[in-house]
Amino acid sequence: MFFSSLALSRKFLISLLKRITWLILTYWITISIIFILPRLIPQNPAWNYLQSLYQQYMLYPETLKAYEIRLLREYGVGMPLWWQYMDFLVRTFSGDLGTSISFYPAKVVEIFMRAIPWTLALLVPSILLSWTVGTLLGAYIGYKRGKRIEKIFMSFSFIISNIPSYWLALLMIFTFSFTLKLFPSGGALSPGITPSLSWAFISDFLWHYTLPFVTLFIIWTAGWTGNMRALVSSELESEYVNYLRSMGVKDSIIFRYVMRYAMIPQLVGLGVAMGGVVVGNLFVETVFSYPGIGYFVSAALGSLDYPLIQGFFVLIVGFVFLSNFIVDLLRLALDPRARV
Amino acid sequence: MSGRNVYMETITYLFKRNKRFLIAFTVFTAILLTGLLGPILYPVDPYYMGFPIQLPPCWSHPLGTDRFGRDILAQLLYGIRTSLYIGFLVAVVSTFLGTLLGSLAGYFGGWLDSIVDGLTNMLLTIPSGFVLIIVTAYIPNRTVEILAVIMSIFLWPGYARGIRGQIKSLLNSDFIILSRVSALSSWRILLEDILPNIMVFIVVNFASFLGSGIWMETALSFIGVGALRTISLGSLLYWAGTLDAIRRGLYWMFIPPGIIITATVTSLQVLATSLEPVFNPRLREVGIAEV
Repeated sequence: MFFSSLALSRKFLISLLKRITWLILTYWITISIIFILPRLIPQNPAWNYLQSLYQQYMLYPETLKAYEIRLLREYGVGMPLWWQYMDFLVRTFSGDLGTSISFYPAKVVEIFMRAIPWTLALLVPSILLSWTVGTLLGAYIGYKRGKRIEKIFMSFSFIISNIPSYWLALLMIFTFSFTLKLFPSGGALSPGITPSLSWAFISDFLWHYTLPFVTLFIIWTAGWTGNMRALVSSELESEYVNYLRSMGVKDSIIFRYVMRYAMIPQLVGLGVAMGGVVVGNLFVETVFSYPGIGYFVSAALGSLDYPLIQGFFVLIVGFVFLSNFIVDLLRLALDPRARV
Repeated sequence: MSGRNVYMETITYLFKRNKRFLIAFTVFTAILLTGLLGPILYPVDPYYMGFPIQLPPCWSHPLGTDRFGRDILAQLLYGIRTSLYIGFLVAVVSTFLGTLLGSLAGYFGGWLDSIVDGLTNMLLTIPSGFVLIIVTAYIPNRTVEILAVIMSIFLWPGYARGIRGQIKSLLNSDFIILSRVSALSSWRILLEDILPNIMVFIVVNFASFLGSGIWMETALSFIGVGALRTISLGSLLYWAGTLDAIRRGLYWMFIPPGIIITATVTSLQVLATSLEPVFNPRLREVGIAEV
């Protein structure tokens, strides 16, 4: 209903077009920067890779030379910069993001496709659950303003939301994996188990899944709780609440209005968080060696795998831009005040 | 000058009535003093490798030693110092950038405003945490100072927007109009009339930038794209990871840095949010103790 009334206004269409143009421009500049940066820096990742090959397999130096020439041609090294740039743009928009160096000869897109289900499986449930619990908790303690329970919960959520996730992950591994030996310290599946709809797969998956999930859940619940409490208490200070109070309206009814407005930014926050899932969680995924997007990014950073970093970057930033744009539209639909 | 007094009153009020502020203030001061004085009071070289290896906490090494026989407490004290240093660098650079660009945009408007607005929009649209990690990974020979500048580039936009808004709303007030009518130069108006009025806003943001700087440096160092040749809270955690402290059960290597990071960032966040009522009078009435 909102959308139909929105679509009719010409002003809205123009501002929409402006936003889209702006987004495309920003995207183009961002990916150009990520193209230029490594080329300004004197480092040769292909040569690093060859050297590691040389040390691992003790190849003949002559073979190595021939292999290097082939590699360099594949990565477009030695061509003028403008040619590389055009090549990069053309290839990117035709869906070819190049070949990874450290996982050679796997294509970047293949690796991305392999990693994304794992990341979604970890992040989507933990975001949704922590958001639900955090919102309910935040609304409750916002309602109990000034009471003791609010102060206790607030202090807790303040502290917990500031715990670095990777540190909590380390603590989790130390406690539940190293000391109590209840859960595995990392990975997503035991060796020999392949994804299928069998009980063996599901139980093994959940067994590996518990620690990373709980880590993210604890920290994010605290964050959402604090956020919702702040929103509720700032709504409680607004004019319309004072007015309703002076009219003698019951607290429970006032609270219903407060919730309606406090929920809007909280929902937008959920949208932004969901839009960011493609980034993965570099820290938790790395600590638990959970094979999602973040894990591959950090592995690529470690081995200076430029094509992988660049390809993931192009995809991830594109997804994030797109989802932010959708969230913006949803916010317009939800919040009449933002539509002016 | 009467404005000053209101600030002072609110701040003394904070100290007397807001327990959370008092705790945060004490914690942060303690960490600050540890960072400044710790390495002097505990003069052990954090790089010295001659102590017994993998020693659990004991009297001569209160936080034990690592696999190479380095003293963890000495490393931690140096780490706190470095992290605070990085935090301050980030806070100074991003406050400077944000204040300068935000006030230029807000005061002069026009094409300057559009350029700054475009830049802020751009930086606020990108997933900055992810981009920051990639960009730092590409920089060879990262030093603490270079890292601080890169982090600041991602931090100033939101704040600059705040400054711009504050100045825009100030421009309509009578005293600014009077100064303009009396043909004072723009720089004088900015420095003498506007700056004192947005000072508290700047200070509050400085505190939160300090926290963000420490937080971001730790995260970057932990995944291995920080200034790893420097001992910082993040690189301590990185080493705990790469030296396999967990599977060896060396809990004294990774527990202390995490506690210090959480305490620092939390106390700074509490300080910043408690100081907010000082510049936002609307919050002042409802009781600073609540915030």
